[in-house]
Amino acid sequence: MSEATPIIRAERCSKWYGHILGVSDVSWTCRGGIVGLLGPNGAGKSTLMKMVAGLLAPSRGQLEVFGAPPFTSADVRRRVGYSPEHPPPWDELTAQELVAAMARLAGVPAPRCAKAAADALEAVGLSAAAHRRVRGFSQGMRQRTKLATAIAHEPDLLLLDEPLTGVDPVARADILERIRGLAAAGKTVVVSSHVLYEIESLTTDILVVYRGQVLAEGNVYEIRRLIDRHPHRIRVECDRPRELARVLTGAEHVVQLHFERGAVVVETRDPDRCYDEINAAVIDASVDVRALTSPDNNLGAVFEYLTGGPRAG
Amino acid sequence: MTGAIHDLGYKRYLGTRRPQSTRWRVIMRHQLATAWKSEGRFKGWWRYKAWLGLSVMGLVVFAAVMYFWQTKMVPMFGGGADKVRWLDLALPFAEDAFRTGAMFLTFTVGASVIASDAQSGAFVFYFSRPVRPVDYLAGKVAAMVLLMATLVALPLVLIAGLRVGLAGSTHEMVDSLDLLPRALAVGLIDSVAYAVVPLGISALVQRPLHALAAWAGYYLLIGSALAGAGAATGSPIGALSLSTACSVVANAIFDSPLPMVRRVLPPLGPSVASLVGHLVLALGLAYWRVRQAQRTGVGGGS
Amino acid sequence: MPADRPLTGREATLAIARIAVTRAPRSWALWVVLALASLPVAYARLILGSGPPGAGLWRDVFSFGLRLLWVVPTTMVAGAIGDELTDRHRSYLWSRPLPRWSILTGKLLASAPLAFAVLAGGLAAAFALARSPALEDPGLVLARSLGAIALGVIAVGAVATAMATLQPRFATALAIGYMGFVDFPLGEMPAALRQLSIQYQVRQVAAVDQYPGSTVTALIALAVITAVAAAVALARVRRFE
Repeated sequence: MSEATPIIRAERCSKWYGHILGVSDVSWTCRGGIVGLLGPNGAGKSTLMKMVAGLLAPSRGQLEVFGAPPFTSADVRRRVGYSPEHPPPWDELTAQELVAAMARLAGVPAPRCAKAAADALEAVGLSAAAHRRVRGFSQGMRQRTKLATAIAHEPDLLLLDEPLTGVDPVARADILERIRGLAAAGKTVVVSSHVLYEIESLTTDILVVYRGQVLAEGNVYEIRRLIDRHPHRIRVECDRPRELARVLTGAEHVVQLHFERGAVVVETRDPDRCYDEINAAVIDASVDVRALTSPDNNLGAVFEYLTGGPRAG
Repeated sequence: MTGAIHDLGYKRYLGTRRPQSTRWRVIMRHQLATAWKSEGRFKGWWRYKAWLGLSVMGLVVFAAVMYFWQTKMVPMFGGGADKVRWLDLALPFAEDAFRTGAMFLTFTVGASVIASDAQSGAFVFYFSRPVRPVDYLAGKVAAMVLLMATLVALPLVLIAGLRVGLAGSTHEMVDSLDLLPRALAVGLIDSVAYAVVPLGISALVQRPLHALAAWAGYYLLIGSALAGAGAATGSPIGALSLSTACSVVANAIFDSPLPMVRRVLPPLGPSVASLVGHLVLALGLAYWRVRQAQRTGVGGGS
Repeated sequence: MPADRPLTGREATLAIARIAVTRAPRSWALWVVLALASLPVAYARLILGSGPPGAGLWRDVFSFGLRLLWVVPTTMVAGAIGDELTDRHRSYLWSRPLPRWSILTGKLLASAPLAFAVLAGGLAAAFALARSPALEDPGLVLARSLGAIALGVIAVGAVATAMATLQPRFATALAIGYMGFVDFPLGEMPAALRQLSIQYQVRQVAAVDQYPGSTVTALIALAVITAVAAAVALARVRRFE
């Protein structure tokens, strides 16, 4: 496989479950880093992940991971670590036993499985509970166990399906930190979620899936820039908002202005130009600016604008 | 203690409410609907409709045999000169056959009724409302008895009716009229037995599949061991088998001669005692379990 | 610890079997089947009465013991395999680089010998009670009976595996239902159809059927039933998604 070969390449992939279309005509290329797979419940995120993990074969189209179809290539699946949305199986085993068994099934040589499991459990912060049965674990501990089963064999690609479901805020922050660590160590990570702020804290590279189709992919700010029909909003908190508004009114890229207490909100089609003009106006008019924010330059707004509905999560 | 509901558009129901004693009917109707439910063309039919279909087919077969073999004679067990008409054997044979349909229903619905509710957390919903354990149990028992009755009692009564109708003379018809209440009695006894006993097993186990396995072990293995031991030794121990006890009681009510089938059955007294014992134990277990669920599910008995 | 290479079928089978053996003592099913294994002994005790065992007693006890084939191997095999084919377990297992059929073979390798050991123990204990003093070669009778049970466990295991691939959620119920309501009545039929019955063939191999037939035919029939069930299971698991 050459350096130019993408990690994941899907070309016009569709997947049917009987009459139900899970994924429709999806084309997507992933070349590494952390990618957030977004979409509401039932969008097709899990179906796409399962196809990448080799659990499902596309009904139509092509899907390759590391240059080969994962459904038929055991060698590809060896390099993939998948943490599904389901709770871990065999919960009468201890965490150490379960992760070691999964490592063995992933191809780690038998004499090295115990150490691989211990290292994986340490990486997810479960060393102290390694010899307890998974049955007695809390939801957060089960999620960590799932993550450990996915990383024990040191895969090159990690697929994490809803890794934070049911997890308390403290454990959530910890797991997110560990995911960042894995990406920093060179692994490609695809994380799926319908909770936008979780993805936002991890990455700016996203794939938005809605009703089985890919709505958008790439950098979230680039995507936002492309959404013309929703002008960008910029909120400037200052001492003389009307003075600032007077200067900006004449600009053709400004679509609308409205006032809030102590602030002016500008809607513009060209945010870069607008920022330059705000800078100039502030200096010329000697306006004292307290805060400058963009309320919709975020994942939630992007998602809402793309899907035409209320934000998920 | 005070309470208030603020006006957010919610209007409390102020009309008449049905008395507590009718709750069991709601539970019964829900259980009947669940058993009847099927999705698509064949999904879910195995719950109840398949066995109903089998019962209907069985009814047709028995009716055909009774009609076309009205005069055919069958030798009695042990040989000899005594013979009996097929027409007169229909009811005892039918009782055995339709009870098989009831047995299938215990495996698909009966044995997992209470265990399903336990697993799904339904007790919390039941007992956070004004439902008593006795209401719950009465509803479940009534539903299962009704379902079993459609598979056993109803076909038996119809066959008895056919037997009366096929009488050769008015005198014979009048003589055979008592078959109708006997068929109803046998059908109801079988229905109650096959409704209540699996319910008791279901109450002991938390998971439906485990309950099913427990019932299979009890009915198929332990029951047949006891029946076989009783048949081999001639001792009344065979009466402890639910299936055998039902057979003995049915034969006694029908007052039917044993046909050419080789069968050694225990006496009537131990069989009746066994049936009663089964019912009391099963109902007791089920009530105890449901009461436990009420106490632990919503934080206290009431 | 990177995974060097995907597991071969043999390695995957052994790994799955090892996991199953580790889990077995921690699940309710093993203890229930151990309790059921004592039923032939109880049955023999019940029908023995106070006199010496008659010539036909072992035949009755063995025939009763055959009913354990309905529950013991079906529960241990169908339940175990059915579990692994549900969405939850499949998500973990089938994203691993192992041949899909190895999940079936691994589970069978762990469950079938255990099921045989349980049944054989119960029947051997029952034989000690039920064997007639008139038997010429009790060792041979016991060996034939246990050999027949072993073949029965393999055949039932294959059928249970096929049931599990057809309907993973209800595998155990389906397998018990098949053995009790299809295989058993088939075996009692006074017609050629009884050749399709596992229980009938096991009785032939053990030489306890009331209408003795050819042991060779019985062995061939059991082999064919096992092969057909195994083929169904393999075909299903290949297409499973």
